[in-house]
Amino acid sequence: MIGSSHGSTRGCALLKQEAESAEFSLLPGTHSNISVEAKNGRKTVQPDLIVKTKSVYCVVEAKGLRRSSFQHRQLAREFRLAHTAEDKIPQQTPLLLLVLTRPPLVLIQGKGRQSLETAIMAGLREEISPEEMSGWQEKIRETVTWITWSDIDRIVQRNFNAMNIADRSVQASIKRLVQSISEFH
Amino acid sequence: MSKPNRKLTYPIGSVWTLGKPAQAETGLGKIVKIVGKAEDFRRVVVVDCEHPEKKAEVRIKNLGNKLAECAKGFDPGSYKLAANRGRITSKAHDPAAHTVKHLFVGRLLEEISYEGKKVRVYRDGGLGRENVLTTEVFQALDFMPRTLFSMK
Repeated sequence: MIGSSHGSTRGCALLKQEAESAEFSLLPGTHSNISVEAKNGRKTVQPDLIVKTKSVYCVVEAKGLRRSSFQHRQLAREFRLAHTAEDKIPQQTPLLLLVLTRPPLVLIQGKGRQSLETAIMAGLREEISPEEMSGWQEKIRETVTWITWSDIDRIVQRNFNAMNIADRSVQASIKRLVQSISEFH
Repeated sequence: MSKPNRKLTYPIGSVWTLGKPAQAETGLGKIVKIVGKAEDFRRVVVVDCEHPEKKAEVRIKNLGNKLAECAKGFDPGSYKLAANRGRITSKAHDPAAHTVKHLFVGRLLEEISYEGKKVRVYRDGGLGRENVLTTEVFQALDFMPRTLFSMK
């Protein structure tokens, strides 16, 4: 699935390579106080999921199937969290994965539809000082990626159909997992 | 005869956690059982659940959570295991051990518990809501044989 997302190729390739050992942490903001430094103090960030491997620190933000928008600084904060999280180790490549209902442009509260780069840069300008702004635009291209819910369903289904699993019980087990993804979107 | 409508808060035989300063002061462990009352009504006599030979008088205000009404059948070992379970994050050497209890559904419930009156919107099962969708889909992805899928 991660190999078929659009955007950061290096981060996605690393994550795909290390997928077996990836740790999933759902709604991590509920427990730990995850935050990023901003002009006027630290700001709490609540991503939907954090996926960690030896070489990748991936922040996942998903949007529901109902009409939903991003808060106007949300993407910038989550993008910076991927780069500067306290529990991120230096050898981990940052990655922001967005799971969307449809391909960008994305809906930003009070701003209408924007490209991911525009939305993140606008948020960054409000959050960090002009001296710190250099280099971020390039990092957006390198470390932001997106996929849609229907892409996930299609890819998982396609992979399952291409598999040749001899054990019928194992096949049925995987089929149930695949179906649980299809049924929920 | 009518039943008494009050229950004793600190009955003899009940099991409690003991605060850290009191543990240091008395040499008792974290889990204690009340075994008697002291002359001062603000204090009780307790024994360490894991080392019953250790006994001391402690102030009631130093007792924390009541773990069991009666020590009979209470296993301090299993309590510690349950308390530690939430803190376990992963076992780096064992890929199969990366999924821990309450990683998905428990976290979702916890998140929803903060939604107050809005929680009613989940009566349809949360269909299409991002928290529920993320939980369902990523839980399935977490449980899948990942290497098998990434080879295709």
